[in-house]
Amino acid sequence: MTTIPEAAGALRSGRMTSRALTEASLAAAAALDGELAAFVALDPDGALEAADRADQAIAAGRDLGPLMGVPVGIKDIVDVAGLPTRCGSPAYPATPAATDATLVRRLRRGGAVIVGKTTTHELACGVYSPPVSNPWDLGRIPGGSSGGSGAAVAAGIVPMAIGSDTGGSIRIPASLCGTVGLKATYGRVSRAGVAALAWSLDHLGPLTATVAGSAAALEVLAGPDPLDPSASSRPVPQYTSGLDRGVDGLRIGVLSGAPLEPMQPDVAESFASAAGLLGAHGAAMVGVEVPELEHGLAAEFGIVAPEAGAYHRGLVRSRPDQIDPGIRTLLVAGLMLEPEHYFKALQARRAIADALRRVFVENGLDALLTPTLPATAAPKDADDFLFGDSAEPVTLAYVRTTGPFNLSGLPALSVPAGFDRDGLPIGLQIAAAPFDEETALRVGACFEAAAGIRGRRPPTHASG
Amino acid sequence: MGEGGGPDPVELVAARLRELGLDHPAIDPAETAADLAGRIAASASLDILVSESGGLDPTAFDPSWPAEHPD
Repeated sequence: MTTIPEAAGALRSGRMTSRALTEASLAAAAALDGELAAFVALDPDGALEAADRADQAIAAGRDLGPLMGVPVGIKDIVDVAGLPTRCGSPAYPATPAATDATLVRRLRRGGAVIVGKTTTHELACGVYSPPVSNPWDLGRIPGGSSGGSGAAVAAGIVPMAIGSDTGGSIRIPASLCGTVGLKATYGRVSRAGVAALAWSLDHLGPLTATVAGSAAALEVLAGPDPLDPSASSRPVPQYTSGLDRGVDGLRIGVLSGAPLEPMQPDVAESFASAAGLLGAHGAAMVGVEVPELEHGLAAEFGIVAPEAGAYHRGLVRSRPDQIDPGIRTLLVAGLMLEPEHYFKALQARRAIADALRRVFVENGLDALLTPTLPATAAPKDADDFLFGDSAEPVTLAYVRTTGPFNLSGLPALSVPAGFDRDGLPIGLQIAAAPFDEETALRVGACFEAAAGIRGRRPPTHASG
Repeated sequence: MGEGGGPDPVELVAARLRELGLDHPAIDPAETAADLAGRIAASASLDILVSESGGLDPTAFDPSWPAEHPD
């Protein structure tokens, strides 16, 4: 049982208890730990207590929402009271967090069962997430920085895990591990109680097995928060309703040019097929280009370096030897660069956001499609991809297609779109207008049903 | 001295690291200087997107779209 709707149905019908589901999750996490290393900490006592409370609520006829009794994992940059927040770094203390992050409070209020903390790339700043392995091929990376969350969901350990996304860190592991990943609009999900990477680009959201699961999770996670000034006070729609409306009558942009090229041939073929499938289901498919996106990486890292450097300035000054050399270089640069470079990157970010808005408005688009990533999961020891004769660093290749939606703040959903010749997952990215997660989810649900690729499980999976 | 008789960029970076309290054996001035040069070049590539001066406050980012944008 790996999906939120299946779990919710079984719990409410009495076919399954939350305790049994939670015990299965805890057992799977422990059994697969040697291969996947998806979790850095489990909380069996707290999880089973929460599961029993959920079972009592169900027995009493109370309905706390779509995640009631469902086991979930939390990325280890998010505070969970009683567990340490280590951020994948030896520099962070093992002292337990005193309070829950806002999103954790929302999950608990909704009856979700927190089984433990998932592995993150150090300081949420990278796409490799060592030592986590990809359940589809243990020699390959799961993506990052929410790599543990991607591996845990793909392997069926939990139906949902929380990730964060500053340049793609929810969607990258979702694409590489074959799960759904949702980065909602900037401000849709509170970030209070979560370690930052870059304040103006950071987002929180779910990785799930299905689009319906992501919709259910967002219903619980979204909403205003006085503890996070960026959290929007807009009303939260019922994201789970209307998922089955199809795409007939929608206008969907199909991006070409920058920043998609170069990409692996299997990814290009999958992307063309995905666009064709949505067109066959009644959407008007519109080819579009956004040349400004060629500059997305320069703007993204021009913002990440100074914001991350400022956030981690105490750590960089006091214990730089405890930071990964590549990340340390970025943080030091962020403290050294003159302010004009940061403000120029912020201006470029606005130009890129405006360019994306124009392409939506001028073409009357409801959604915009891209491949989530131009390449599938890299081997763990790979520094670069080879596209023809041209080498590109793995990190930059992944972030160039996801980062524009951090810069613009637009909602972006990654759904499984197929497999490459090596059997590795490929993702389809569906972006929508600000706060229109409903349309991204609606398109994603239609594609998920039409593509018919659900049900294929990775070789390393909780079901054995 | 750097090439052409100017100040050595690595020495300049080392001095700046000291000023900022970042002089530590784990932080290599030469590596930092090379990395900064790459980032400054990346920043220069953004000139094509942004005007030299003026423009709206770039720090007030809001993902919402105005009903009518003053293009």
